Amino acid sequence: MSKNICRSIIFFLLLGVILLRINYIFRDKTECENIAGFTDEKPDSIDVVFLGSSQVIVGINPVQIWHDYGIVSYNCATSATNIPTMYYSAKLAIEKQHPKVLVADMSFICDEQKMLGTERIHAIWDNFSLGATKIEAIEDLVPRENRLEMYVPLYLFHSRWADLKEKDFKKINSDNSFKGSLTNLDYVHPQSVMYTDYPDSSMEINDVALSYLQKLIDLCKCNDTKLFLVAMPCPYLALDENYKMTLNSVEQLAIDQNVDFINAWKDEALWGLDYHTDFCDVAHVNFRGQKKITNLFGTLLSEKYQLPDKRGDNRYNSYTVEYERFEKFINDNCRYEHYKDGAIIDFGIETQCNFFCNGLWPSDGLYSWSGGEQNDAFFYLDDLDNVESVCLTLNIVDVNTTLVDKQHVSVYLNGNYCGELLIDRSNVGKNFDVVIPCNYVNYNSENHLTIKYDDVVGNVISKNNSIANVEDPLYGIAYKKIKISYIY
Amino acid sequence: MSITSFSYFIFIAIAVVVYYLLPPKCQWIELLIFSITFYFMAGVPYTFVYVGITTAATWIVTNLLRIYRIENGQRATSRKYDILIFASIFLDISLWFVLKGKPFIDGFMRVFHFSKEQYDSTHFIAALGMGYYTLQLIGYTLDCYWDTIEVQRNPLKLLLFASFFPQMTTGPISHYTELKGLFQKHNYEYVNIAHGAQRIVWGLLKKLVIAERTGIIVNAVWSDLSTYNGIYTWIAFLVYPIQMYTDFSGCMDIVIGTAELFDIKLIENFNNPFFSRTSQEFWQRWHISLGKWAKDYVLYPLLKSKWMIKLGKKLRSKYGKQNGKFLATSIGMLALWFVMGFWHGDYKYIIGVSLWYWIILMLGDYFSPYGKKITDKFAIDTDSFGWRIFQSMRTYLIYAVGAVFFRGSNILTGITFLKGLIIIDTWNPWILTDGSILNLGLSYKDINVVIIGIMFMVAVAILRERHVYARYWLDKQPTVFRWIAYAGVILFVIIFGMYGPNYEASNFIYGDF
Repeated sequence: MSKNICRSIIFFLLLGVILLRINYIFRDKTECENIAGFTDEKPDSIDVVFLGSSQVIVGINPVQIWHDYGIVSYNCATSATNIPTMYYSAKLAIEKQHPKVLVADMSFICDEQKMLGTERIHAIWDNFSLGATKIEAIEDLVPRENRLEMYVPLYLFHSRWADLKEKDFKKINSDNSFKGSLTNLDYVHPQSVMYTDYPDSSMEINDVALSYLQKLIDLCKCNDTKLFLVAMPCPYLALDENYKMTLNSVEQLAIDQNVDFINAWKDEALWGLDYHTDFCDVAHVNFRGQKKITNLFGTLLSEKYQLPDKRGDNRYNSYTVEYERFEKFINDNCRYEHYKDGAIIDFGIETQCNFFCNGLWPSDGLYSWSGGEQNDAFFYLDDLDNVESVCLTLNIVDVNTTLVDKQHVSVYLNGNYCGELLIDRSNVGKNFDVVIPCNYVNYNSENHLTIKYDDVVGNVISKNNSIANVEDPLYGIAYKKIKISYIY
Repeated sequence: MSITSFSYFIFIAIAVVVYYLLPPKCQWIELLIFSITFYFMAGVPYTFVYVGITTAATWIVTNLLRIYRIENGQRATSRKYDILIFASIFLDISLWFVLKGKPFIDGFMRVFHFSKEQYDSTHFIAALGMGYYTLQLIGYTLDCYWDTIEVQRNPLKLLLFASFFPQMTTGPISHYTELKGLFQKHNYEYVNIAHGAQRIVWGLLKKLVIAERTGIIVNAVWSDLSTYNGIYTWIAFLVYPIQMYTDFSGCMDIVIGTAELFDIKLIENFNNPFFSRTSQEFWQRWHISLGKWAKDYVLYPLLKSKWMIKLGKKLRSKYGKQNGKFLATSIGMLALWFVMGFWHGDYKYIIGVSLWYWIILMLGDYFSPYGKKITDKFAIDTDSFGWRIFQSMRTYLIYAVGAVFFRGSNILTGITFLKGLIIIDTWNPWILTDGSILNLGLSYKDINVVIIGIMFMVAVAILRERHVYARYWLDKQPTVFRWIAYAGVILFVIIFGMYGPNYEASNFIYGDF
């Protein structure tokens, strides 16, 4: 009898090993790459952990911080993370790393639910091995009917058998992430504006978020970790007055509890973001914005908390390696290139302008141009010896003039006004030249070309005097390519 | 709690551990407690009263009879006790009819009123496994009455006989003698656990991998018969028996496997039915326990009854030996098949099961001598593989026709569906090749899984034909081979099974009866 039992135990152990492996293969790897790297880091090796939502993932780059300030940090943020989930992520992070500073994003402070979508939770916690904290988190946050899939992800993910790809069979790699952060390369102009008034009044934090925020504060105090709260910039939330008023309460709470707090909505100058160039969509910064935010945090962290500069410490070679990889990644992938004489900048899509002009009618009466007011391009120009000026030739693909007959378009290079075009429907298919004096041109760094739609009658329309159908394109030009010619 | 759910496996794991830790004397009490717990978790708790009422009535009547017989000798009976026994059975059937006979009442009222409006009688929540335990208790009562078994004196033991938890979902309908193991002492034996677990995993494979997937195709076609016509209808027609078999027999495997964990052998309900060469054989291999029950408690008593013997004599003298015997058997068989159809609880089953099979079997019986003449004349080797395949396919198609009435919501939809099969108004064979078939909800990968699963089942079925059970054959294989086989099946179920938090597994088709 005992022989049989022994054999069964061996059988089930072997089966268990296979199942663990299968569990790993079948896991949905979306979004879990950035966290997977965190669990691989040596215990107690990281000084700063960033937590929060996607604004943090794309906003703060630990390898940049390492390179510029020598601070060892890791970005443990995950998409749409609310405060309760963040509390447990913090607990897991503190258990493993005991960081000196924990930066926590307040973007989801208004979320009243305890539970995130399970797929979000999987992306975070599947990376942590089962322990008391993970069990506590699951039992606390996950509804009873979903708990099994949290303990045994295969219960949910076995149905991925038909979708398995090569990468599923390999160790989760964090090729796209740099110590947890992701970098966006696109330019898209955020649809709403930042320049709204910031409310003075406060709104109470909802009970769920407040209780977990308090738990988070207590947790950090117990573990001698400095908590640094942050409201990340996010144009998408610009018109959400409740959110901004709630942030006032967070600020008050932070003052009361002696916790640091920095609010992107209040200290715009400090962040220095340009909403035309620094975003990849309505909610997230691109590599430009990331660089600015990262610099800000690098400065703040080193000033406020006297974190040691560990550059030169061999144990952190991986940070140096990652930084080099990051630099290469940026250089390989960024859109700006060296343009020789006669080269053509291809914007890829011609409908871009029309799209922006099809904006929503805002309730406050002022039509915000949704970024359609401006197009930006970044490029390096070739060596400009003996060159007097550069001629940029815009090829007009389309002109929309529902409201105005003619549209003024101004062209700027590196912030310098270079000329103006007057366009109407008869210009479709034609070329326009803008001549730029060579003293406006940067030789060894990128050039920022802005094409701006100037104010004309009908550009700003009051609510009471609205003259356009919301669905109509107001005006706009579409150009797809700019040809660069050097004038000697 | 479904018997394919995770909680069920936790439940039986606890039950098994407790079972073998307890002194063997108390094991049946533990089974009863767990059975009631299961009932409360899987069914609507208050309906357990119905099980209680039927069991109590049965216990009182049979024990009154027992006491009477102590004084008056074995097999003694009187008119009073005949009536009591009859009343007890009548109560069982009435309670069942009141709770589950809604389709009969509604249908009857509709015809009676000649109205096209759907008549809607009060809907009662029936007890879990009502069709199954009611038949068991009726059988038990009759066995006591005929004095073929010893009367159970302990009402709780009788309650356990009626409510033993694995068989509350879909049977099998056991005779009392077949469940005596419930009250015996059982010692832990490794082989019971191993075989029980194997059987459960195999059942899960049938249900979760094959039945759930084939169900998607069948449901898609049936849910929109006007869009899915022509060849689609044929696909649903041919696939449904596979769904039905894998669903029902998969469930049986889990049930029998569960009982086996407790060292209790339930009777088999299936024995490779699609290997049958005739419909008669089919019903000896399909839902065996229902057929056996109907034979033992309806057909044989009827054939042995005085007036039936008299009628038989009369018919023989009037229509000749051959035809008279045929007619007498037909009447007996009509009763048997009526009970089989009626038990399913709707008129449509009386068409799809009773009438259909009665006609087929009687025709088969009547024409079998002519059939033999034909095969002899054309010198067909009736033992050849080709002929056997032909016969099996014929049996399959006959079953598929009857099964249409299981899937269709009423007789009319069943008949319309069958009409669609014969008069193919849309001839669309290209759906088999142009990818349209993938619109039914299964990807080609899923279809491959179904095909592999069926091949797997056929292989096991062949082993079962040769070795009584495939596992007897497997037990003789080298350890490495066995382990690979076990792990293979387990992983196959875990990976390809249709279950999980986002997937609502359908109920067992036979769970409704």
